[in-house]
Amino acid sequence: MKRQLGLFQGLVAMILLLFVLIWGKAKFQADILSLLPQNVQTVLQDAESHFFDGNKRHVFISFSGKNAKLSHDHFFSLSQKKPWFNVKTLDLDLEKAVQFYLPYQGVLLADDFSKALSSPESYTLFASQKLTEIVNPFVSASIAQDPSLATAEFVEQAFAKNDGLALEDGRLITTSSLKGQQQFILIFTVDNEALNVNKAITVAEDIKQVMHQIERQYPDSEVKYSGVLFHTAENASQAKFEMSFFGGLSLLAMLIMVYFVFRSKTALFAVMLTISNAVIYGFIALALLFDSVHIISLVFGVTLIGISIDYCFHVLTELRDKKPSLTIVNKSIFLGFISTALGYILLTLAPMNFLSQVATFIIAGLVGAMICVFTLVPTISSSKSELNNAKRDKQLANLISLIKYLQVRRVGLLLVVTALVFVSYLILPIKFNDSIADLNGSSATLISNENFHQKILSGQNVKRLFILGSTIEQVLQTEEAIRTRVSALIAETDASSKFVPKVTGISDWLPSKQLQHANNKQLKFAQANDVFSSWQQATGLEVTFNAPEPLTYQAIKNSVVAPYVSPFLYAGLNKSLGQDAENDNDQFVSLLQLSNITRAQLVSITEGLGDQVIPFDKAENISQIMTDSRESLLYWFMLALVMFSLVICFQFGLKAAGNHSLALVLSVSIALMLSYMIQGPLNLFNVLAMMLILALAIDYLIFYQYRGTNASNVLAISLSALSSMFVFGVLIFSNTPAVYSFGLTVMLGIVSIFILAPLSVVNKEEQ
Amino acid sequence: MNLSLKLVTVFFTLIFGTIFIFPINSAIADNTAKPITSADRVSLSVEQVEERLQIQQGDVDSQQGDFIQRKYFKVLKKPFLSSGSFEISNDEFIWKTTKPVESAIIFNNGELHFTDKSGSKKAPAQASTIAKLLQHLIAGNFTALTSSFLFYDDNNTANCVTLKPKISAMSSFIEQIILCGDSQVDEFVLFDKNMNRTEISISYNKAS
Repeated sequence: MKRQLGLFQGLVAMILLLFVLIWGKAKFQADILSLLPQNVQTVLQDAESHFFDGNKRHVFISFSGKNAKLSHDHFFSLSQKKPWFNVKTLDLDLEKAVQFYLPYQGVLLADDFSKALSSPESYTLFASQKLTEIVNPFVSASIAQDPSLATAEFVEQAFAKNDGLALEDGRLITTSSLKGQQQFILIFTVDNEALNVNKAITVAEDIKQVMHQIERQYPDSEVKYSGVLFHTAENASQAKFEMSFFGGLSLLAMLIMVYFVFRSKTALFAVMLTISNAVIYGFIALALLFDSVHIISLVFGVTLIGISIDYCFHVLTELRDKKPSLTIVNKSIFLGFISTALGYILLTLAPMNFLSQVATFIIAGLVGAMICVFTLVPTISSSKSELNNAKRDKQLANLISLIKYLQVRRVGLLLVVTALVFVSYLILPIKFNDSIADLNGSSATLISNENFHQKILSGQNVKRLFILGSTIEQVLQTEEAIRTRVSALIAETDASSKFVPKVTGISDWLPSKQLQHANNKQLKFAQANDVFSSWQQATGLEVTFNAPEPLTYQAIKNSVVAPYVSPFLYAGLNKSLGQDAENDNDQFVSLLQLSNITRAQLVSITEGLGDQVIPFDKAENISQIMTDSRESLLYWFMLALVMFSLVICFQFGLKAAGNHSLALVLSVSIALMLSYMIQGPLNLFNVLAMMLILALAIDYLIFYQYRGTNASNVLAISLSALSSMFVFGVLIFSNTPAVYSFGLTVMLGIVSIFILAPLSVVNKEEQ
Repeated sequence: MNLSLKLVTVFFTLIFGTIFIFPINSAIADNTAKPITSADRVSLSVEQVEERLQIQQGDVDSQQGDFIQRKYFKVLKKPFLSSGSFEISNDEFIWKTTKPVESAIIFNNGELHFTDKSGSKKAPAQASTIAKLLQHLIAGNFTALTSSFLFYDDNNTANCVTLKPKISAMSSFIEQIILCGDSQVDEFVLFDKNMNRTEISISYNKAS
């Protein structure tokens, strides 16, 4: 009956596996950005996606050196034939932009224009300057309808805000030379599909091949590349390698261990069946529950091999002893599963989505392993004598003797270990460092290229602010308040300096209604004071200002300038209250960029603006989220420990609860201290490892407490510990710091609990 | 600001040619020049242009002289007039306005500097395109101009050629340029998208 049940579940699992594979339900991704912790504030998270998600598909290639221009042009011509090369054609229509703003003449004022209104002389000088420029299409397109040139200057100022890059003969160049060299930049966009795991690797390789061709032809040129595509490609190929290498190595090691311990093909078959069933269950659950599976989840998921095999060990050792019933061991396995599952569920408390995938994969996999060892394993191991091995039994007897020897001296040993741990924490207080880099296994070259491109594209002192408001008007007024403060800073800065502070934002294109009203008043005041008289006399044109309807976001949204505004304004509209109209519960967020501003200046600029202004620093935000998560996980760990102690106290008495809690605390403390000594400052992933140590350690304690130091139990626990140590230990070879930290701490924790668990067992007579 | 917007704004701000500052000091000038509209003519090669204008690139290492600029707008009856001097060498270009208001634009080793009455200022980055264009036009560097323009003969005058932009970076603000000269560039006329035009006449110092 058990066998039939086991075969039936295996058949169902295989059908489901075929279904997810054939129907393409299993999708993988390696987007490095999707690993990042998520902000709990939904509006800010949505606004961030709105502002930055489009950048994911950009690829940046820079050319410098003697033949920079030639290498740029050659790269361009070679790439044009490639399917991944997609340079956005900019359909420039200045006429339309100027025409859009012309009906609003009288409410629009540029900074220089506003200053020029101080006297007829300064205005005449300003207007003359505009007319004598060799080429000024803004003036050319608007002078007939707006002879004051206010509209021309406003639109020109809006377009001129960015000078990080210049276009020279159709090539993007840097405006300031870095390291004495001018850089030619090529920016193109790849398709969304190119960011998929396999496609990213192929496309990145193809781009690099073109680069190498250029480098060979122009050895004096330096070509650098950056973009999410390359991070995805590097992390994907690395994760694929690690997943298959770690997985293969772990599997091989497990099989060798099983063979040497049991000397039986049946045992090998049982173990392989258990692991296969576990992996199939885990994979099906991932494919069905998640739209796409991050490949890094599977790297963490390799540990399933080591945990699922434990269940098989317990059944095999029990069968070795020819026990008539497996009820007790099945009960222990089920309890073990509950504690491990809880441990993995605790991992999902960290604000990273991929940990939910890890937990799903492991928990579903363990269910698969459990079903397999309950149904199939006992039936295939029919000839139980096969599992006997005299040499192993002798070694096991030695181990049990050692455990008993230590158990006799456990009070002294526990005191010494406790004292050592206590002193080590006093001498070497643990430091933490939560960095975004923990999640990135990209090469040093790519990270260095990225930093270089950031400097030449955005400058070195760029600060971004999220401006929040319940109305667009409120957002615009806050932006303008910041502009006023930055203007005061500009007045103090040397005009010839390369580092004059600058503000860029949606208020360049759309002044607040309040400011539009003030602009109209200023223009009419200037008109009343004959500021435009001499200009009118000289040109024969008549300057008039109407009282137009104010310019609104609704008008901008449907206009030719929408692409310059909409991407930088996030509208969190409360749709239940209406269509596009602003409602009480709406939230708006704009992105304001400040350049050449120091951190200290930023503090003074944003002072007093409260929650309406949130400095946006992705790396710092993520570090903060990771720090917060780490701290909250520590509280969860304490809570889990207390709950476990209460359960043990209820089940086995106060003394057992005290002993087990001490063993757990010591194991975790030792694992963290040793990790700190090996790795340096710890991070969120070392703390996440604590959760798993707790879950796995509880299994050992429960097994020892229920079954004592009998041979089959000690053998099962020893094999289980060895397999776990191996699968987690192999993670320390990962290039991704997060995977390394996690594997290191769990491995050290398992070593510690393996030694300490038997010391904490309280015999029935002691209870 | 994200990079896609940067690209777009950069492209637009090319035309940010705030180079010359003059008060109103206009003179009535001839307003009869018309842009070429036929698009079916065969373009000229650099060699043909050099032959037509009798200009050989590389004839002179450096040049200096004076200029007079006349700016015509269709809505205005009078053009704006200004004058100054210039200097060109391989790695430097100076365009200095002396009348009626002093200002200068200096393009040195790829970096642009701008000064006016108020002192030194950071020139708009996009002005470098205009400065380079002027530099190549005056120096008769047709090879450099071929990356942005196609050349056509001018039916009206034998010693003139017409330059039509072939890339959107130029065509977004220049409709065409008529360049005239005999052994050196004497005059060029820039037509913008609205068919307003700027005439620049060049005279060279004997030392060049």
